[in-house]
Amino acid sequence: MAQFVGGFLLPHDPLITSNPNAPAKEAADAVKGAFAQVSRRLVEMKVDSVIVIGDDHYTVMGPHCIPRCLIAIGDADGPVEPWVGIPRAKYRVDQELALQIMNYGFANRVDWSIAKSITLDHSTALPIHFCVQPHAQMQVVPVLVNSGVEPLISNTRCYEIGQSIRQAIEAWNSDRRVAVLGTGGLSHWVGMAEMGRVNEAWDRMIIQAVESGSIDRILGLTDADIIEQAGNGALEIKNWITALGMAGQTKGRLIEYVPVPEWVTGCGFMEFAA
Amino acid sequence: MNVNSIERVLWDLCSIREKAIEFSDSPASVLSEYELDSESNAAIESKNVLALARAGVSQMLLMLFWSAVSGGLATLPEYLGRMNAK
Repeated sequence: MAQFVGGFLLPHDPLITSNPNAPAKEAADAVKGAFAQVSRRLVEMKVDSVIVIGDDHYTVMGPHCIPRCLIAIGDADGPVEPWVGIPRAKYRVDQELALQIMNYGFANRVDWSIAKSITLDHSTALPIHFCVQPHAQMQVVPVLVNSGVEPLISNTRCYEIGQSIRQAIEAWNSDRRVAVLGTGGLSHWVGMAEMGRVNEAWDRMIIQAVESGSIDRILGLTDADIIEQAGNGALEIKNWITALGMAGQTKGRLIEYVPVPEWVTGCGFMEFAA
Repeated sequence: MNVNSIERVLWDLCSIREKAIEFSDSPASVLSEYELDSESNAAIESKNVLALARAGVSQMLLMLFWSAVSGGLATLPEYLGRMNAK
């Protein structure tokens, strides 16, 4: 059977690549180093395929269609935004795994929206660029949960979707080793009046909850509270929750945390075991 | 203001480059293609992002709209100035 071997939580802030020299060199180097560490760990863990969980920013989808959860099962490339500062690339999608997750979900109460062909935005493109694309044999399965555009998906539903993905992997007759990247966050106010503010205390509260395995503490946060304390961009912890749902009762290890107002967010990197 | 209708217009302006260029030259011409109420029309035409935000329009989309019709991300300080206006 296929095996889920662990995961990572990390930012997907497009300013990291579009405006790389904005923060102090020390901060920028710490963030780049953390991406490199995640990339190295994926190799050390002998990962074959990486599920990359992001969200749309009203760039891929429009008001005509706002999927609660979407899986890419065919062709995928990105980023769609030319200003992000990384070249548009075609991704090596693990179509067998994507179909396994899709079909398992359909049989177990996850009505995935499906992308047969999609150009993704920075939320998945940037982590794939740094962590997966450098490894020629490694494949991806892009997943989007709607943490960006109202009406939002609930924290609990994200966790359940993560559980379903884990079960799908373990029900798959394959020898592949699968990891997950939960992307986004932490505090940031996208397009809001407070844009540029970072709430380091809130960021560290989330990190501490992951370190101590207190997922219920995160699940219990209301959307209104998240926006109030950490901005609309912090709703992307729903992407983290989806990834953590794959692990169940796990404790995370902090790789790096850097508050970077110049990149309008707190950049948190964590690893967790399967 | 009808948030759903407004978000459709803003999304079109973000995703159709030619429409954004036309809006920069003649916003009224672009907005005449939509059936918006007068208040929504005026807020979009004047790029009154604060009023649109207060009406409940996605602020992420507002920022993208501003960037698309106002000269790109370099103009965000003016956007934030408007969002923080008293």
